[in-house]
This record gives sequence, C-alpha cells and structure tokens, in this order.
Amino acid sequence: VTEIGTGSEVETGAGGVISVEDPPRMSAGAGAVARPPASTSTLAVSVVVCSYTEDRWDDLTRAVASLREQSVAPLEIILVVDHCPGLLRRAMVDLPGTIIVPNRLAPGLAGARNTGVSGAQGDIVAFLDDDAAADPEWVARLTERYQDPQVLGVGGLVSPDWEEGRPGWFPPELDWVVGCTYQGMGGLGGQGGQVRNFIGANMSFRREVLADVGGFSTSLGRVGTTPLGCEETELCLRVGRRYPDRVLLHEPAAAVRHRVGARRARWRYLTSRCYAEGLSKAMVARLAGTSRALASERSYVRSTIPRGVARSLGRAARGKLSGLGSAAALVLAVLITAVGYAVGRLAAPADSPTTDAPSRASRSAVSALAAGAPWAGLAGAVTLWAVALAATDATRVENSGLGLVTVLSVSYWAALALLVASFTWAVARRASRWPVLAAHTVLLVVILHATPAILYQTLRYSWAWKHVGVIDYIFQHGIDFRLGGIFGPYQGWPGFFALNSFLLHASGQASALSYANWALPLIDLLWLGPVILIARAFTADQRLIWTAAWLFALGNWVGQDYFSPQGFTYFLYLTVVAVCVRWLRDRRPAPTTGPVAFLRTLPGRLRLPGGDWPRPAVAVATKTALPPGSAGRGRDFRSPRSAGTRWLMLIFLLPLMAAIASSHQLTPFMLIAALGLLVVFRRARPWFLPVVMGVITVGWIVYGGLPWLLANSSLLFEGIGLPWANTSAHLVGGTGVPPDQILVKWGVRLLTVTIAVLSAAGFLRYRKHHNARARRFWLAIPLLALAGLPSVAANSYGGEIIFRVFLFAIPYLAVAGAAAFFPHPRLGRPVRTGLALAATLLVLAAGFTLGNYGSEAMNYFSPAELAASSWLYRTAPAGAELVAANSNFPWGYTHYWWYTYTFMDTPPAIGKAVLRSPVSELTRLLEPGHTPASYLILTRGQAAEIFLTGEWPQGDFSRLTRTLLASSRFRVVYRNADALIFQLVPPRTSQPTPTGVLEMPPAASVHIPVAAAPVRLPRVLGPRPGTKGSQRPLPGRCLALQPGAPIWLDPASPPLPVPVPGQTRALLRGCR
Amino acid sequence: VSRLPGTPLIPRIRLRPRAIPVLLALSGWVVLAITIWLPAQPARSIAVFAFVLVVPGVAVIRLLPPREFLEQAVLAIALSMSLALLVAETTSIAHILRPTLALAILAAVCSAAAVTEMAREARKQVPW
Repeated sequence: VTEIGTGSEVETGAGGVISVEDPPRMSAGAGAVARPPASTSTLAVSVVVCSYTEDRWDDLTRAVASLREQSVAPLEIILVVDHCPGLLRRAMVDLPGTIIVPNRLAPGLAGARNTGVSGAQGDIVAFLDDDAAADPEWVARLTERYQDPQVLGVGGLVSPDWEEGRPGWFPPELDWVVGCTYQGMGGLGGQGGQVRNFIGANMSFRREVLADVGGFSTSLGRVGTTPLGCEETELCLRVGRRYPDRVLLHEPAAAVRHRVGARRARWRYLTSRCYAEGLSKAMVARLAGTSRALASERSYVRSTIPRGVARSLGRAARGKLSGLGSAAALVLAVLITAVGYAVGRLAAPADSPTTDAPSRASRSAVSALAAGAPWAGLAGAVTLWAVALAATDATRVENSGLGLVTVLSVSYWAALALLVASFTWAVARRASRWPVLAAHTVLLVVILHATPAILYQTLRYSWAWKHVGVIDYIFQHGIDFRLGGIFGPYQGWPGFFALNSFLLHASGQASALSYANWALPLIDLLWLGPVILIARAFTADQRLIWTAAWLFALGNWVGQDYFSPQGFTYFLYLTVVAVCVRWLRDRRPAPTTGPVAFLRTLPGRLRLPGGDWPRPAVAVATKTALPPGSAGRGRDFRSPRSAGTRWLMLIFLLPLMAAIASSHQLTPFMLIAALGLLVVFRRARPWFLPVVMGVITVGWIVYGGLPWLLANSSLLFEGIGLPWANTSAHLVGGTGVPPDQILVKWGVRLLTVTIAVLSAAGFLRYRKHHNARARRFWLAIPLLALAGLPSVAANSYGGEIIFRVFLFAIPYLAVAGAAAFFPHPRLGRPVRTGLALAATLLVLAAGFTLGNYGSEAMNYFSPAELAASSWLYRTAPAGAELVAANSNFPWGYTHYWWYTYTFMDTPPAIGKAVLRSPVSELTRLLEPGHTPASYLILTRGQAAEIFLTGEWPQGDFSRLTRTLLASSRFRVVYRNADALIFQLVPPRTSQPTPTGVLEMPPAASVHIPVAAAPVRLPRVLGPRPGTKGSQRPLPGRCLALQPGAPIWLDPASPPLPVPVPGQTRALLRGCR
Repeated sequence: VSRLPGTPLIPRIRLRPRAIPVLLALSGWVVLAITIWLPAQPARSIAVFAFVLVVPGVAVIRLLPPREFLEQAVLAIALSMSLALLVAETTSIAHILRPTLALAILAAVCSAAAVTEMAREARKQVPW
C-alpha cells in the first residue's frame, strides 16, 4: 500500500485494486483546473461529489455552487461521474472550475468514491452527496477539527431538506432512512463527539487514512436486485480497527442540508429502504463482525426506538393522530430491517472476502466451529454405535423377521442418521478437507460391515465356512488341477486359497477361522480405495469424490464382500481399472469417422444434454471445466504420459492381471470386457491392453482350469443366448415369500432404482456443465458400467449373473450418481444440495440395511449350531456320508475332503422326494454302502434358509424333523437347542454303536487316517449370495419353545404318529 | 476440473529419508527370522500379515510414477497381494510351498526394489 497520488496502486479492502495513477482529469469550461484561493489553513481539502444520473442535475449544480461559496475554499472539487456518459458530457460543459472524473472502477458509489480518492491531492478528502448543499462554513468547521492529530475523520450534521415538508407520521428517529442525522445518533451532543460511523452525505477523512485502509469496499454492491449501502459504515469500522486509539468525530457545526424528494416521504420508500438497510447491515456484519457492526444498532433499538414510540404515543394521546403513524412507522421500520438483516445473513455468499484481521478472526472462529461440527458428528456416531453394540443381543437374529434390522437398537439407526447428517454437512460446505470426509466414509463402512463381525461369535454366511475348508485342504495338500469334483472350481482357480494357505503357514495359525470373520469390513474398506481413485480420474471436486464413495458403499448390496475369491479379485479388478483410467488414458483426438465415431456422437444425435453433435462450436467454447487459474495445473496423473511411464504402469498391471486370472472364473472376463471397451472407444491405450488380459486368462484356463471346465462343459454353454432365462430367476422371485422378505426385496429394488436414476441424472448433468474434452472422457463411465451387461446373454452363473453385472457396474454408477449432486466444482448450493444429498443417502441406507441385513436369520449361526458341526467333524470318520437339508450351516471348514455331502436342495428333486417319503428316501440316502458311516444333520440355519427362500412349503421342515424323531429307523446321536444329528438304526442291532443322545461332544478328538474319499459336487459354480433372491423369515410361531424341543421346530404342528410313507405324503399334502 | 480452494489433494509422501529403502530391504528378512524363531503367537501373525500384504508393494511402487499417498497405498496393497498370491500359487502347484521359501522370495523382491531405489537416488546425487 502506497500513498495516493504517487502513481502506484492501492489495494482495496474488498481485494480489488484502485489504480492511483492520475485519473484522466477533464476540466470543464476553459480546460484549466480552477484553483481556489489558497486556504489559510495548513490542511488542504479535496471535496469529492459522486453522481450517477442527470435526473438530479439541479441538485448537483446546487451542491457544486454551495462548495464554491465556502468561507474556506477547498483545494479542489472532484465530480466523479458513475458510468453516465450524458452526465459526463453535460458536466464538462456546464460545471467550470470542477475536476470531472469518470468512474474507472466498478459501478456504484464505492467505486466512484475510490476513483475520487485516487485523484485527490488534498490532505483531507471530504465527501458531499450530489443532492446535498453544504453550509458556507462547512469546510472551515471540518478543517478546524483536524488540528488535533488524533482525529482521523470528521462528519457533520445532515439535516433533511423536505421537498414537500416533513410528513406528520415521519419521526425524527427515522431520519437515517432519508440519509440524514437522526435523533438518538451517537455523538450528537451540543459539542459533537466521537462516533462509530458517519453519514455518507457529509463526511471527511485524512487522505492517508483512506489509502492505508484501502478505500471503500466494493463488496457492498447488491444482493439480488436490491441496492445496498453502508459503504461508509464499513469503512468507518475498518478505520476504527486500524487506528483503535484515534477517533472519528461528529461536528454538528459542519452542516449540510440533504434534499428529500417527495418520493422518499412515502411509506413504500420507508419499507424498501429499511429492508435494504437490513441487507446492508448483514453484509457489514459479515465483513466487520457482528459485535462491532451492530453495536450502535442495539442501543438504537433498545433505547431510541422505545423512547420514540412512547413520545409518538404520547402525541397521539394528546390528540395528534399522526403520533399513531409515527409509532407504527418506528415499529415497522425495526421489523422490516430485522427481516432484511436475516435474509442478508442467510443469502450472503459464504466466501465473501474479509477485510482485515479482526473480521478474519471472527470469521475464522465461525468457520472453525463449522469445520469442527463434522468431527463432533463423527464422535457422536461412534458413541451411538458403541452403545448400540452393547445393547444388541445377536442371538435374537435367529428368530427375527427382518434379521439385524429388527434386532439392532435405536441408537444404531441414530448413529447412521447422525453420520449421514454429519457427512452431508461436511461435504456440502466445500471447505471440508479430505481427512474429515475420509473419516466419515471409513466409519460408514465400519458401522455397516463390522457390526456382524463384532456381534456374532461365529463366522457369518455358510459359504465363508466352506472357503475356510478349501484353504485347509490346500494348506495340507497343495494344488492339484485334476482333482475335480467338489474341489474342481477351487483347484482350477486357487489363487485366493493359496494366498491364505501361505499366510496360515507363515503366521503359524491353524485355521483361517481366526480372521475370516473380519474379511467383511476389511474387503469393503479395500474396495473404497480404487473407487475413490476412479472418481478422481474424472474430477478433483472432493464433494463428488467422497459422495461417490458413499454411494458405492451404500449401493453395493450384492453381498460379495465376504471371505471369498470374488471379493478379493474385485479389489484387484478395481485397481486395474483405476490405473487404466488414470495412467493409461488415451489423449489422442477422437476419431471422426467410422462406427466408433458414430457411437461417440450418439448422445448428440439423440439430443441428450451435452451431446457432441450437433452442438455448435461456441457452446463448447463457452463451457468452462476449470476454475480460474487452474488451467494446466493438473496433478501428475493428468499430465501427458511418456511411453516409458505407460510401459511401467502396464508392467505393474501384469501381476494383478495374473492374480485375477488364476483366482476367479468370472472377474477376468469382466475385466477383459471393460478394457476392451476403453480401448475400442479410445479412452485407454495401448490397444493390446485387453489382449494381454485375454492371453493371461486363456493361458490360465488352458493350464489350470481346463480339467474342471471339460468335466462341466454343459454349464458353460447352457445359458448362451438366453438372457431372460439367465436373469429371471432372481428378478422375478419365487412364490410364497412372506411379507417381511417382500419388504427386503423392495428395499433392494428401491436401492437399485435410486442408484440407476441418480447415475443417469448425474451422467447428463456432468455432460451439461463440462467442456468437450471432459465430456469425451466422461463417456468412459457408461462404457465401464455397461461392460458386463452382455454376459447375461452368455451364462446364468448359477442364476446370479445379473447380480454380478450390477456388482461390476456399481463403482461407475456411484461416480455418475455423485455427479447428480455435484456436476461441476462451481455448482451446488450448500443448503439445497446438502438436503437433497442427505435425503438420498438416508433412502439408500434404509435400502441397504434392508437388503443386506434383512435375511440375517439364515446368515447367522449360533454357537449351538457350531457346536453341532464341531461334534460332527470330530466324530464322523473319513469317507462318511453327510446329509443335510441344505448347506446353510457351519460346514466344510475342516477336513473338507474327508466327506461326501448330500444336500436336499441340490438338486431340488432330492428335497421333493424326501418330502414325499421322508423315512424311506432318507433311509436310502443314509444307507451304509461304500461309506463307513452316514449322518443326517438338521439345524436351525437350514430351517431358516428353507423358510426364507420359500424352497419348501411352510412347516414342512418341522414335519420332516418330527417324522424322523418319531421314526424307529433313525436315532438322534447329537442334540442341542439348534441342531439335531441323526444316524440310521441298523436293521439288525447286533453291534450297537453309541446309543442315546450325546448332549456334549466327546472330549477327545477322533483321529482317523485320511482316506481318499469320493467327493460329490453339491453346487458347481461359486457360492450363491445370501442376501438377495427370494427369502422369507422364520415365522413368529417358531419362537415359542416346547420343553426340550429345538427352538426351530414348529410347536404348532400336531405330534405325528409313526408314519408310513403313504401317510406322510398325505399329511404333507394336508399341511399345504 | 481442478482443485477447489480449501480442499487440498491427498498429500504426497514427500519425505524420503534414506532409511526407508534400507528398512524395506531388511524388513522381509526380519519377518523371515521371526517365522523361524518365534512360535505361533499374535506378534508373529501381525508381522507376517503386515509384511506380506503391504511391504513388497510399497518397495516396488516407490520406483513407479504414482506419487499421491492414496494411490500409492492402493497400488502397493494390490501389488503386494498379487505378488504373494502368485508366489504362494506357484509353490503350491509345485508342491514346494514352505512359508520360509515364499517369504524369502518376497523379501528378495523387497530387497531388489529397495536397492534399485537406493542406486537411483545415489545416481541423482553424483555431481557429474
């Protein structure tokens, strides 16, 4: 900041710059500046008059004339014409002896005054309104006060010059409305005194003070279409803070008369001016701090207004009815000003520039509070979640209609809601930094996915148990591709199991059970990383990035995040895609001809927003993707790649691709499809990227997967060309699904539809607000999302291909969905967008919890069920036949290869046959043949799956169990609250093996040499997700217990006599 | 598309003291020694899991272009898992899976990457 008049620049308080080179002075009349006679005072005064319209020409000439008649002539009279060429021309002709300066800064009073200051040469700069006339002693009285060096500025009395006389209802307390000194204004004693601020019509400052504080703030322009004022108030506050031990004085003797036209003596002007004053005060409060900006106003409202009202009412009591009008005007003025102030505080932009240290301090305190709120929300959510965990009894899951949804306490939902609110607040206010957003996202995943791991004492989901068993096998026997049978798919793609086997070996643990339960939250956290990287390939807007992470976490209901190869390879798949879109991006210009170019321009041809064709070139040119000053400042991954960098990253991908190809059957093909589309549409390079993945995949299949594929070739080809058959099983759902599970299904559908709608809207919004280059790469999002879709026409993948397609699309749908809220870094109003985002996230959270945890009755296994399995695996000899209603119990986790498993739902015909003739059919299944022993295990979990999926008619499982209990052909060898294990009674009991019921397992383990057990394949392709499809809960009547009866038995069923096959069939029909 | 005011990028790993490559080079062999001498206990499990799932990738990723923390972390974990998986798979197929052998291979990868980094840094500091 340098002194005015030296030809350098002064930084304004608003962050702008006043150029203080000599303005183009245009002297009116003869062309020479008419210098008044030298003042007797040592301080020269420059008077600045600002005008913006010719309508006040008469007032202006009167003002200039009054200045020429001063007893002490000012050094110069500067008329600043505020962007009004007509007035400028007229003034140059008709106002000789005046320096005429056009406003070279922003339109408005502040800019005009700053222009005047920049050209002033006097020691003191005085301001007079163009519709005010100065008293002849005005300059002399002002100058006198400056003899005291402590005085920074002097203001004077502004008395109204009513054109048509003061209206009776207009109280002197409201003279500020017409820009005049009002009754009750501070410092208005007979001798004047110190004031906080001046009235703009009549004020003066030392010129160096104005230069020092940076002139008038141009921030106080307009709010909407309403003109604001208060520039002088804000300036005075700034001066007061800059020089706290010096003063601004009010000198009543330095008087001016302010013209008040007839228009201003109306109620309508009163109300509009009061409203504008409120808006102005709000802006001043933002710039200068509430306490200082409103100090005078508080005393005005507390004392001046009540006194004025009392005086007016007293006048009315004395018979002057205008007193009532005065009182009403006072009250109305206060109310309307308050409304304006409130509106101004709410509407003012959050990033208004601060002017000096105290206001910055005030603002920083507010922003510190705002920034701390999300951390407080985070702490609150953690606390509520901890309370929920302590208050939840996981065993209730066994019998609850909606799984964890019914069991979790209110504080869990409060934690989730608080987290959503806190995240929304943090993400919508723009200023939040990544740690707080990341902490919210991590906590969301932890709350959603670590809850079962903490609450359950056992591993969740039956297929996870089997994967533990496969690891156990490889741990002990290594890999043999020719093993076939039940091990075929795991031996053919053994990567995940081999890795865990190695970890078990190296860490000295006996079983993956020790850590498998934590796979759920860990895998979900792992997935977040590459999803965020993918989002960041398309934007640097933190709001979009973290919202995408939330949408991904809440929208991913497919349930492949358990301890499984697909969860593991999905992480690698996402990482490969992230590297491709960030480091292998194809930056060459898009092809202009050919089928790819046609597809690229399809959005434009379909008239979608942001389409490439036939958009006029100017529309593209005017779009801005980059905020000012950021062009070309991209991070390293955005800058052009050298060939060396691309090769390095390509080599980096090779081990990831090999790991994917050797660990899972489906993921490699999904990756090939994604890479293929990126390359074909020139979003990634080199062209051979999908070829490399294809060669690795085919190479692995030929090397390791072929034995199993050849043995199961029918599975590969049975679904080709049958997309509806491949998807309809789960889309349509089964019959007889109970109401609770219908709610679960609708929760999932709501979730899916919400994500789909959001992503479509976001895709279009992003295109609408970005330039051609950004839009071109944005097309990678739908390409990646749709990459897996053709596979529905190729294979049913065990009936769940549509879920897998959704799984591989959800990261990109999430990124597009986030763009629905934050399509561009410049867009998104904090309040409106925040509310919409919060509502959406709450809907998604409801859908996710319903879909993911609504069927927990069958994904949870009680300690009693585990005890039964444990007893079975310690008792059953190698080579034994194990029969169960289905695989939904803790099974196969140890000595998986010892046993032959028969599940009545694989194929379903077995179950139907068993239900028709339970005793004879199960006798046939359990009959000793080539196996040393056979067991039938029935558990609560199996019953739960049957009820939830509607595989069997309701009550049939219970009847089957009772039939077996009543049958003399079967005996119970193990029994607890949640499980029964049967064996056949030998036809001739010459050598009875254990009789009676074993309540407790034998203390010592049974050591049996490993036998080459024949194996059978219960379910040939990967596990079936447990949370989707048609499921139904245990009916409530299962809760009632009969003494000694397993809780999952249906007590309402009448006791059955020992049935013969025909009778059972009749009974089952009757139950239906 | 650019960075917003007040929302900095996830910070880069700026500090690269020379000790880090040395630690990376030695870490695998230390963990190998732990698996040989320490009986099965939580400390051994933590050391093995932390090394196998993170460290080889960190050592290699420091030689590659990515410089942002999150990107380095994600790529390092993915690469560590993939390398460990391929080593475990290969040795399992060959029926020679021994924890010491697999750990030694991964430790060798770490050492090679760390030595490469040290050589690269040393070359940068040669004045001619």
